[in-house]
Amino acid sequence: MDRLGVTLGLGAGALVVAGLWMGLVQAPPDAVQGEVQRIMYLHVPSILTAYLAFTVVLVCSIGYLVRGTRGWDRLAHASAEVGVVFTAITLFTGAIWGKPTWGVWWTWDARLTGTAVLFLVYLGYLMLRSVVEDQDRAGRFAAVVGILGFFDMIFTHMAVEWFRTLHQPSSLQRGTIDTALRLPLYVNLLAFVVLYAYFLTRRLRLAALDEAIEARDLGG
Amino acid sequence: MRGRNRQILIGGLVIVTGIGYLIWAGTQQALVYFYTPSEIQAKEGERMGKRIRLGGLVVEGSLTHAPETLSYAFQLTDGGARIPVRFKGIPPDLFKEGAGAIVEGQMGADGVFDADLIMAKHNEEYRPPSGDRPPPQELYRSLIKGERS
Amino acid sequence: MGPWGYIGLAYGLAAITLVGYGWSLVMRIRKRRARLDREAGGRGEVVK
Repeated sequence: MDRLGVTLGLGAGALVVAGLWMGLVQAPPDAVQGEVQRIMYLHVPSILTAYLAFTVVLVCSIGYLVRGTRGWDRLAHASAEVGVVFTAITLFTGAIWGKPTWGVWWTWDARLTGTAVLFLVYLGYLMLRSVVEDQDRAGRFAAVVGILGFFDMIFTHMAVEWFRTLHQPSSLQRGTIDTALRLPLYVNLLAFVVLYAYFLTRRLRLAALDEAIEARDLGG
Repeated sequence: MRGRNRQILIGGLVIVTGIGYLIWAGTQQALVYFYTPSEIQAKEGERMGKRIRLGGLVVEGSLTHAPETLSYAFQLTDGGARIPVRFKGIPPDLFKEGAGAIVEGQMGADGVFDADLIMAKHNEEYRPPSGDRPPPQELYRSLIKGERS
Repeated sequence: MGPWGYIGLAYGLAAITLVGYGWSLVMRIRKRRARLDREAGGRGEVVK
């Protein structure tokens, strides 16, 4: 394995261990919710990492439509796949956190609905890529979906500010989270971002191998 | 190839802008996840018998509980109007006086809201148990939005 | 279920998801590499 991949993998592992310790042991429980609030240390970092992943998809999709080079497309595809994994974590940790606090696993408010749509849009992105044979055609279609999905991401993020929802507004954005709970959150966020970068390098390696196989098959 | 890509990009942006506008316009009207007590009071007749959500803070001192029938009675307020609510079942742990709640059900003919589901709505504050509680005005502001119009 | 039950469920599922995804990447890479090596027919590893 390449040096970058090894570094990111080991870094992510160390940060995840530190994050687990801070989130599950070192951080105090929340005054209102008690211990169960610790699910935040998974839920918030995973969606922020998904935001990062889908922002990379947006930039690379535009890059691909403008430049038409495979590198942009490959990066967009890889980032979308990793983003879907982190969005899935957001959805199920949110449901598991919702039950003991709100009293329901799920409700159709603007934030939750938007997040479900976000997951489906990028899942659709991946399915589109697996259905369309020609890589350039698939890349162009997917790029449009990748740009479209970004608008849902902004909508979903802002939904708690714009509309009445069961979901509360962003604590980080409003600065309403005590330092004792914020620092563990930052460590976990960093862990997830490095983990994202690690997954991205692996996914790009996979894409490079796929293209090498394709080139060889065509070359006979 | 370049020209086609540019066409797709522009076409895509037009579609996205259109969809974005439709979502925005539609949600401004329809995305009212819950009504406030003041809104219910102002248009009581209109919403009678329809399944709706009502959200507010549980009025201090209004909560009564009959353990043998699992029934609860309380009032929800947004700082203005107060709507009495009755509920039978098990409310979430975070449901208590002074806290935010959203109930599902319908307005009864006697002016009492018949709820069959209680959801506890907490705000975006996180702090260790020793921290100070925010003043109630702050709770209204953060829990009940849509009062800007 | 108590609070730690929910915490355990959330952290457990997240761990399964992340390890599962990482494992799927490693396995997919390994499969492709094996295929390339086989097809290279002794010409050595072309793509690391």
